[in-house]
Amino acid sequence: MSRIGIVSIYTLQEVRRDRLFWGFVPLMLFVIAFTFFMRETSIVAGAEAFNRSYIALTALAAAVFIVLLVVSSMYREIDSKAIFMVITKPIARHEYILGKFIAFSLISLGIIMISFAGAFILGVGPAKPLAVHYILCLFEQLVMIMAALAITLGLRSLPSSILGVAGFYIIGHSTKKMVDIGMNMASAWVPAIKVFYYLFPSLSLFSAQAAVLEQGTVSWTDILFPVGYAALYLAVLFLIIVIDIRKRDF
Amino acid sequence: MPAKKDIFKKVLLPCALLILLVLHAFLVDVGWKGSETKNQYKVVPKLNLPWMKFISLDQDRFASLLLSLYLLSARPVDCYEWDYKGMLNYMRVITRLDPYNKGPFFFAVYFMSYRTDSDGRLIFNYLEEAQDKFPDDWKLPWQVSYVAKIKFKDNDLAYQYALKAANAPYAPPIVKILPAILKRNLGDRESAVAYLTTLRDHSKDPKEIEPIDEELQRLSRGSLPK
Repeated sequence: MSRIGIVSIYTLQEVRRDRLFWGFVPLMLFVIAFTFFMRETSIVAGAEAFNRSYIALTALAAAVFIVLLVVSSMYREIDSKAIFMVITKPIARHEYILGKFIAFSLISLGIIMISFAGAFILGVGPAKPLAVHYILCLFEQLVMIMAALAITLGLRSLPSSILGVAGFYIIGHSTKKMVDIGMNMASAWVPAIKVFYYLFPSLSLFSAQAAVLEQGTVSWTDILFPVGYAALYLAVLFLIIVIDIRKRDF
Repeated sequence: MPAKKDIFKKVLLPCALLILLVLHAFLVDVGWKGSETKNQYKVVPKLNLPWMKFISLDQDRFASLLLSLYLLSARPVDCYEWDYKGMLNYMRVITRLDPYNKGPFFFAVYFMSYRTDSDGRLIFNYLEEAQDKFPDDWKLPWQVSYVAKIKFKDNDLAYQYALKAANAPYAPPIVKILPAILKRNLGDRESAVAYLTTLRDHSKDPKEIEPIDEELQRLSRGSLPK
């Protein structure tokens, strides 16, 4: 087995022992319960409220869960010095990062598949738009995993890392809106806002929510651009991590 | 060899990062431009107070005024496109609470007929509800007929609504002969003549008979005035 594979398996075993990992079950139960609650709060559009809530909450819960898992796992490894056990072995640091990334990506894939199956069973929308939406969600999660790895390895503090990743997620979802608001309200600030726009990822691209809720047309090619974009941003984050940790002794 | 490896790490990696960031900036622009051209209903006028007046003040009803404020507060704030399903749900709330408020139906005809996709067609289901509430009203089906003909290019639907308007009591003569005009414009002269002849036979009002005769003469001459 390759060194990357070994790191992945080691990470998965560590995650399995983490109590946070099993928090996924109550989290999903809460999401489903809250979705049913939202349906009851609407007077005239119960089904729509249900579908909207499910789509939004599963994406949010999956992102929060995987980010917490990555940050806590990485932080614990750095804090307990367990990371020395790995990086002192004949393994390149980029292999270590890739191993970690693959392990968390597999967990994310599992979460997305469960969310998709739930959406399909509960009749949230037609199968094809749902599949496209959740594939896009998976790529958003991959970007978030790599960002969480970069931020945790950079900051090495649990609260700062969580705040940093949360900020990354929020800014990533609002870059376009920030520019639009700036254009209308404070055009002098637009160049400054554009720095965020070009540096942070545009996470809003990873969604087909409108197609699911309005039963609009969606094709498999709608995935191609976001996938290419995600691959590019993953490469950016990976390079940042490699440059950052190449001579770090943690 | 170690020196070469060092150059790779010190120079090439940051350069690659810079190139990737530039590429990222380019893709961000392409991605949003792509999504904007795909969504052709991105920029539409927002709901504003003059429109609310249209709903609330047409009938001088306090309930209407109050409910239009409800609509105002429920508006999709600064959205790029109207959520037609959501809007119609709010309209239905208004018409349930104030059943004889025609404002929302006129609002649907005037301001929600810009989109001619499947969502745009939802207004016709809503307007059907007006037929049950105001069976004697000719204004609404007459306007819907216009919207169906001009904006949706749906001649059959336009004819159906024109027929509803013509059958309403107190409909003016021009509205009464509208179905025949639509049929004539579609090239169906026989149906137009049959409709007008039946209408003439059942009419005793000279003010009605006069335009019917004029239209029948036009049909017999074969002229097609616009």
